[in-house]
Amino acid sequence: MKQIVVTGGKGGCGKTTVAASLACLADEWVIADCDVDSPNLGIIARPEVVATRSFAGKVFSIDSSNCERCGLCIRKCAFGAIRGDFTIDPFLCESCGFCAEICPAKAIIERETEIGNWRIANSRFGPFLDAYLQPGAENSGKLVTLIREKAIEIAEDSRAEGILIDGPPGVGCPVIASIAGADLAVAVAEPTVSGIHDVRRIIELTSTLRTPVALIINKGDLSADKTAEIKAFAESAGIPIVGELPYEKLANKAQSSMKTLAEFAPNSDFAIEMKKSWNTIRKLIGIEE
Amino acid sequence: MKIAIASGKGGTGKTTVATNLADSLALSGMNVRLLDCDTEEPNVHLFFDIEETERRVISMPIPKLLPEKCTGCSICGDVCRFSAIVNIGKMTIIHPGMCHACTACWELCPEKALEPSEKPLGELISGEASGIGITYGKLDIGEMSGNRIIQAVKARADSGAVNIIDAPPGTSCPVVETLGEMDFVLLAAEPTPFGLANLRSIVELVERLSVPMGIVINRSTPEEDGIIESFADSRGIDILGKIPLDRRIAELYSAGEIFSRQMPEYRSFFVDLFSKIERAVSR
Repeated sequence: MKQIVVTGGKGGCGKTTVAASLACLADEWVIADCDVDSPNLGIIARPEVVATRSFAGKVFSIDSSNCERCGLCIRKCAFGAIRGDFTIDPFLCESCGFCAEICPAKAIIERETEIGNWRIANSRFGPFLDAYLQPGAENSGKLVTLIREKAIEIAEDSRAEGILIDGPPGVGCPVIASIAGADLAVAVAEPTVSGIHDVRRIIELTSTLRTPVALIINKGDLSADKTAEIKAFAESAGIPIVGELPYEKLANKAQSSMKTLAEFAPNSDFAIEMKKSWNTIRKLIGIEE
Repeated sequence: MKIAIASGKGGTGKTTVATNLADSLALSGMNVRLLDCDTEEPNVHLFFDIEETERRVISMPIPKLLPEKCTGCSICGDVCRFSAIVNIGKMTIIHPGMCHACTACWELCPEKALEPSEKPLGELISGEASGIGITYGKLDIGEMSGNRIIQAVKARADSGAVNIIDAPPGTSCPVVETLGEMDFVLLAAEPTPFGLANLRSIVELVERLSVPMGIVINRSTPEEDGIIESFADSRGIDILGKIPLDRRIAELYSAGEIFSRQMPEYRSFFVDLFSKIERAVSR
């Protein structure tokens, strides 16, 4: 069973557009949206939800009836999360529990609370999972890992060929959690100075994580120079390019009608190139000759 | 004044707005600082020819084991909530990548067998370009969180200047770290279903932080804008400006150009945007 993650570093480079188009082509693959901040794949996949589960996190608060206002917690908190009035700023608190450990009056209480949720669903692309983390909540990497584990279980039960993951932007903790251990990272490269800068950082990350990587160029005709730069860089680094998608002005229209570009405009250059890219990806991960 | 440019979704034009706003205000004679808090993928510096004045390593304290003092009591592993310390038998194993620098392990070790040691996380770079003071942070590849670098970048704000802060995408911890102590949050929104979904999340976050906000619609078209306008209306958030869907703007961005320099008719748009923000802040 294979795992492919669509990544790219830069927000808005087309990760979800590419992931949705691949999902459409990947028959009976399990689809997992691991962008827990901005889970957008469901807008296109329109899943029928089978189950919604809670994702819990630890929250700390100070019981004012027991608090002796000694100030030890304020002095010792490494995150400056305890205010002068002996309340805890939920945004600054990283739930390390050190304050609860050291409070001489044992006035700091820990409890579990829902900080997000995740869903198992059926979609026209196959089994579908996504998750939502409340704004500002901790542990996005843990939620990504959880979704991937559940997707693996479902894929094994249904003998699916693989799991297709839509990854988050950036190079930090949820991105690492989405890429580590995958069979192939497909990095969406946008021919802009920012796009090139960001995809280079993702490639550095995939090499640190030892995950094989391939590029797919999006909006290729936006800049011939920058597209050539991506190609030259990929060649010198020995990274395969699985496709070159054109700047498609129908992209927003397709999204507004909640369809993938391939469904909305099946004869477009974008849709045709996408099909070729999928076949190249299948060869790269060794499930097709 | 500190103005953050944020958006729930990536790629909606945060950096475009931040760079063009800073540049237009500087050209109109204002004292401007531009701070890029997207330490995972900093892009602001790509649009300027920066004369560097400062580059320093940002680090965080992580536990270092002094094996001769360790008795294998396993208190450190018990108090660590991040699985950064694992005790196997009498052995203490530290995973620096998981550490949040909460200090609990070395503070609570009865033998003083753990001590803080600095681990580099990334860099802070400052300089000047076109009369704008620019600072950005860069998280080392493989590191989990740039929050400490964000704090250092934000500390470069100048109380006598207009500080424009480019936030990371999303709504998770680095965004919260960035949006603390802002006077105003300008949300860059794209008129698409994805754009709306992610705008909702960031609005929810900014409301909880109790900071005044406004929206600028990017890649605006008369047919599509309604999706953002009706939402903004229902939440009582002002739309302060619109940047049209224009291939020329996309091409200039692609080449690393600040588009209002080539399309100077937009300079007054950004100066005007700032006046609206000033009015909203003083309200």
